[in-house]
Amino acid sequence: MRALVFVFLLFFILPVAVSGQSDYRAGSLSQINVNFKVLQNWKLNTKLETRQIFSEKEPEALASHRFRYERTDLSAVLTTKLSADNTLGGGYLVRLEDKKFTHRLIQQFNNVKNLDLVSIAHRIVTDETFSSGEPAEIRLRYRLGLEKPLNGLQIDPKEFYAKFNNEYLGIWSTKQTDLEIRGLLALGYNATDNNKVELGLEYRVSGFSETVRAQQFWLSIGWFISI
Amino acid sequence: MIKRKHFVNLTFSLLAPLLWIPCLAQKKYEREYSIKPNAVPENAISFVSSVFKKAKIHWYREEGLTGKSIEAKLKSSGKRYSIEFDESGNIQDVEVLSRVDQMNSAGRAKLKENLGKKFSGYKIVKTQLHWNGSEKALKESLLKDKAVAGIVVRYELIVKGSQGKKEHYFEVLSENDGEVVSLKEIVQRNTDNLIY
Repeated sequence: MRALVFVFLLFFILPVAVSGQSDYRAGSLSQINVNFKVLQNWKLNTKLETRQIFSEKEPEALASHRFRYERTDLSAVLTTKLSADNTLGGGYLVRLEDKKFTHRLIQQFNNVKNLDLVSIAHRIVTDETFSSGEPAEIRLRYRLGLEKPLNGLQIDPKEFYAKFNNEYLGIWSTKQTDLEIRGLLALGYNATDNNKVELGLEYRVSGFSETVRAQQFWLSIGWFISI
Repeated sequence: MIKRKHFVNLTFSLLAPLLWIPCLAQKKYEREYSIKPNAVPENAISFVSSVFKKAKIHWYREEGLTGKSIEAKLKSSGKRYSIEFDESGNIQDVEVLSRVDQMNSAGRAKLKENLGKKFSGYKIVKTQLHWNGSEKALKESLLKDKAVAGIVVRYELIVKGSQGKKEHYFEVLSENDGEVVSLKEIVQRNTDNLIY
């Protein structure tokens, strides 16, 4: 019950409270992840993600509550299993936003352990982003992920689960240095081991080097398929 | 030129197949889920409550290709127990979370030698003491906290081991004297949604 109250405060009361003061964005993040097995120990993850804004406030501007499509990301990451728990991967992302393309190179390391009651995942990512007219941006990211079945001890087919992510991003470019913190609480449905849907609420805060923080509130919808 | 409308249409088109998910889940599967005590056979409840008077008991039903079973999981005096029954409530076996150094030293040495032959490198990540026997013998063993006469003692180990260049998790069933009864690779759960 406490968790529900916390989530309610975080995602419904807080945005209203902050909207009058700081910059914010609220909207939906929808993503489809399709994973292909290629060769013995290799997997290719392809992801299509779109962002839609429902409400936003830019610096020195009034809040806008109009729906608008923001951007689409398409990425491909190739990963290999280093050991039973560890994977290493690299990939490429292309983003279309305001009719302009942005390119990103991705390197990632993952450690996932399935314990008796919970799965714990550590993800370390470095990425380099390039777009015309902007200085190159380098990010170092760490994400802790927890997943817990809502019935029984393991996530079986046709069962629901809870997922929590907490991510820290260090951002460097010649223009700025910043930190972004993300938190996600999601409800997942495991239709089969290779077919999952997740619906969650994500909060992001950045602008730690600025006088006013920038906040983001997302309704996140994810579909994960493995072929 | 790509218009916003096209992206909205694309997004919804890609999300529409979500409606197919229930149809995709019609395959055979194994699962376990928690059940309330009133769904547990009376003789299973009376067996567990006769041994563990104060422990909080969690009941689970397991459905697999080989049949259905009922399991009681509980913690008592710092030990974690897992007691398995058939659907009618007849006890099948008892598992107690343990450590491999609880095994007698000769058995441990033999097990180490056997695992060394199976794997180029390995680490034991979980050990469970496995008791099999009559209901009377199992009850007496639980009450005395040691295997009595008539109980077959085995060890069930979860081992992270390398065979060649590949490392996987394995379930190893070992006799008390260290002889390996079975060795099965554990199919790891898909965790793509935690990686990407």
